[in-house]
Amino acid sequence: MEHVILVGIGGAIGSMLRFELSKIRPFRNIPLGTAMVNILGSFLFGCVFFSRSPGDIYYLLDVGMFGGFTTFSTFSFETFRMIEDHEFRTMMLNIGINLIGSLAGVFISYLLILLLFRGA
Amino acid sequence: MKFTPSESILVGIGGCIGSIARYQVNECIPSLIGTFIVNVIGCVAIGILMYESIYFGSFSRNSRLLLGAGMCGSFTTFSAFATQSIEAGPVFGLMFITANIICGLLGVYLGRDIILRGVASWNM
Repeated sequence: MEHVILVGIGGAIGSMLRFELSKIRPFRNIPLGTAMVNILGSFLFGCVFFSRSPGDIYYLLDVGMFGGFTTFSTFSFETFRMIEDHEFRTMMLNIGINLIGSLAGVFISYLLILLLFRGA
Repeated sequence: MKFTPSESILVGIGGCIGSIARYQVNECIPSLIGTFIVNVIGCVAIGILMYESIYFGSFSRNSRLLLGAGMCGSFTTFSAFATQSIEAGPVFGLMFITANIICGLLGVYLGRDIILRGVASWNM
């Protein structure tokens, strides 16, 4: 199918799921909803990416769905609000959780795919 | 925590447009640079939208859902950013991460600045 259509359908589903999940209450001023979608979305993105899925699945799930599920703009805006409020500890914690969490998510997805498909 | 179908649909429409726009940018400018560009542009856009709402409130909740949570949210991406950072290796990965985070925050700052300056000049 046309890649544009797949990306659009995936993006609509991904962003709606993100919207529902991000209704979770923040914990100690850390927006856990955003952190959760970014970490979970990065892990799932990695699973599809490293398993070298065929083009259609890649465009529907990775470019569309998980691309739209995770967000950088909300993360940056929330982090910027913490700077405005002089909450530098919370800011560092928020960047750390999002960054380390999603990098770990990608790394775990890589190991998982390696284990499942290439019999490590 | 209530599920509101009409709000969810607005976010979905915005998300559809945002992710197609991201895909188009990535077709022209692939890989890391493309991701960097969508992330920074999306941060400027959300800065404009949210600070307009905070200071002046011309945008309704529904337009924030469509443009902010939907379009900006899915135009920018954290998953491709994280995967490309790992793929790029430690040195380039770290540079890429730093550039995205700092320029993303500067983007939000620029968005706020546009709103504050713009409105100040309209009222002169």
